[in-house]
Amino acid sequence: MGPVRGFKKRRRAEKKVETTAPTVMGEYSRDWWDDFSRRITGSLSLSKDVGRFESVFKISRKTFNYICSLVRDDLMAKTSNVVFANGQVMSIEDQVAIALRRLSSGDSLLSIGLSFGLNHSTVAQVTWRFIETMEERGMHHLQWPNSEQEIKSIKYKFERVRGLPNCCGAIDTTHIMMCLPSADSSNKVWLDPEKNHSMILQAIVDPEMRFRDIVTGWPGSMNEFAILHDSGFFKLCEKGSRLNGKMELKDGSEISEYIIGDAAFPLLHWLLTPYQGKDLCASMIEFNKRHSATRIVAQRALARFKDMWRIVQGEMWRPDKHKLPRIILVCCILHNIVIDQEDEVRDEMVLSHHHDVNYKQQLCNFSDKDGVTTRDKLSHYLSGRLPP
Amino acid sequence: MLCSISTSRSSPSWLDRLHASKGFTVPSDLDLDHFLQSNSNPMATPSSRDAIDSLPCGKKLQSQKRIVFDKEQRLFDLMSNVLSELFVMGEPRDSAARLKGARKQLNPRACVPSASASVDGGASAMSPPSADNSIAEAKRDRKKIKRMRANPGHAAGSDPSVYTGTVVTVIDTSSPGWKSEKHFRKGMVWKGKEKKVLNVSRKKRKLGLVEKLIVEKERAERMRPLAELKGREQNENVEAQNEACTGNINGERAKESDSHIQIPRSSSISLHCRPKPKFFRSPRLPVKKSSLLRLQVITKSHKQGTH
Repeated sequence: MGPVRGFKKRRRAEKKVETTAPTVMGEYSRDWWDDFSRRITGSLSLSKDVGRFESVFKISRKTFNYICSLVRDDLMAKTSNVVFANGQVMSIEDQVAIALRRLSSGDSLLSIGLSFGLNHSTVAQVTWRFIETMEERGMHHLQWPNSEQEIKSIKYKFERVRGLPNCCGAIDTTHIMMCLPSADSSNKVWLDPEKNHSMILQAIVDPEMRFRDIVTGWPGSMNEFAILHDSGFFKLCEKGSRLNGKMELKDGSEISEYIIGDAAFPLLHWLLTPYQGKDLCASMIEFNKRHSATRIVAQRALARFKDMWRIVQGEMWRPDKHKLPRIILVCCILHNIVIDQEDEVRDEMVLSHHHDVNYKQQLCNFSDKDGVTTRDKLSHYLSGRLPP
Repeated sequence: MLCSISTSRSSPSWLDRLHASKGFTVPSDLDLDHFLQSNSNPMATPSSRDAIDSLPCGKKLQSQKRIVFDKEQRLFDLMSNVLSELFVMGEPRDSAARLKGARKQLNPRACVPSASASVDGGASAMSPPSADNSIAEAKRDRKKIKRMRANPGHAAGSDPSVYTGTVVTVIDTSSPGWKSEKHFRKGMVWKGKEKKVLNVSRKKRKLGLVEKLIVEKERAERMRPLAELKGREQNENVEAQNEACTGNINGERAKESDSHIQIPRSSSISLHCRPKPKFFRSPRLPVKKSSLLRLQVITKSHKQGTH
């Protein structure tokens, strides 16, 4: 029996592919950026720093390589020959670079496609695959501290800010703006108190501005209390399975773990808010000062998050409301990766705490008895440590 | 002939068959045809009698007298028309209405008095308020209809998602599944409230109702001059335009893709939506109040959001 007709030809063709593929990959891995930066055209190419990796992606090459390593296997399995306009097959680095550029710049699909010689639909496809993969592979970067050591370190760092003992996090919310047609009555639920269409992101942040817990997807018309009340974090805390550690203070009293939030949140035994009103005594004012100085970390984290991942900062034009929360989640994961990788890029960024400009402070009058007691106890303790 | 015989024969048999199928027994002495005819006749007879009476009368009159009579007649007709609108008095005695048939009274148009006034100079003095009222009434009626549509109980709701709840994808990293689809409902905040706040919330709910009425009144007043202008220009209602606007937007929305293309906000405002910000400008929300109350006000505004 002779060989099947054309079998040898096919074998030869397969061999060719096998031999060429590693060299292409090898070339990319060797000096992928040189090749990629040369490909950049359009408005981005007009920038002076176009040759600088950090100016294009807002992260260091080290962080970029780490992200590539996270998603490589999954993207390799998912991707079936995504190509540039000139027919060249995209490497993992290319795909990650395109997705990161889309998330960090917030530029339109069209302009990103133009910059990298791609069709806008390819940009959308590549970005979405990256988001799906990051959700699966990067979730360990966004989680509540699960080791005793980690919790201890967080508490210590918070106490070092302005002396708040046993504090485990700072909570805040921000609005991710969207551009929706007002005439469509179904969009009314997305209208927030400032009459903007928005989606809410609620985040609990550690002293290093790392997101430890997020809730997102709720429309702008929901208030902070409602979102918190529906969250898994609230349920866990009320059940006593989270923020249940106690600490003995120097004056002999005992205080349980808590997080801090602004006046938009309710006062609970595990969530301390500032004192409200005008007639406050000295200890209350002092508590509010310390509280505010410690809480600013959450505002800074959200401001940096929006500044770095511009896709959530700019007003999105009619986004898919089921996909947007997932985009936000991946941006939060990326935000944490930059911190975890100790990326030097973050040191160059300007610290700001204005993440929701033109939004008035919401007020929540709800308070539970234990919350009031805990806050008073803490206020007295802090006033006792006041400098003479 | 053959046809007429066949129909006359078929009608009782058809009725018999219907009754038989429904299990009714009809006595033989009861003439159903007569019953049906007598039911429809009283409506037709007075108008035909009037027509017979009025016809020779019109023939006898001279040209000058006729004009005076016509004027008086029209005024009378107008008054009777207004009265018949207010009270159920049967068919109107308007000659124009008579020509158009009995449908006129069943479905009165908002601009009928003003149209007749434009023909007749004598009645022009009383036409504007009546026209105004009728427009306002028509608007109120439309609002009522819209509100009824908005009621989740009605199957013919325009957009049930607003009122019955919007499905949103919520990501919560502390939940076991961390990604879930949840229903955003009106007043879902109150579900989780503690009992001690319940009384306060009831009070506020009442307050919300009053506020709602005030806002509605203000809006109606604000809209009146606009409605008048539109009514004069093209005899169309503002509501209808709004409906058309929503339709267009929905049409645009159908084109919506998964991609998030960003464009400047100024260019995103479509022509249809330009009058909309007027409604949003109203300072309904008090600045320094609890967030709980604010949320409720927002949900009330959802209720009103039918315009």
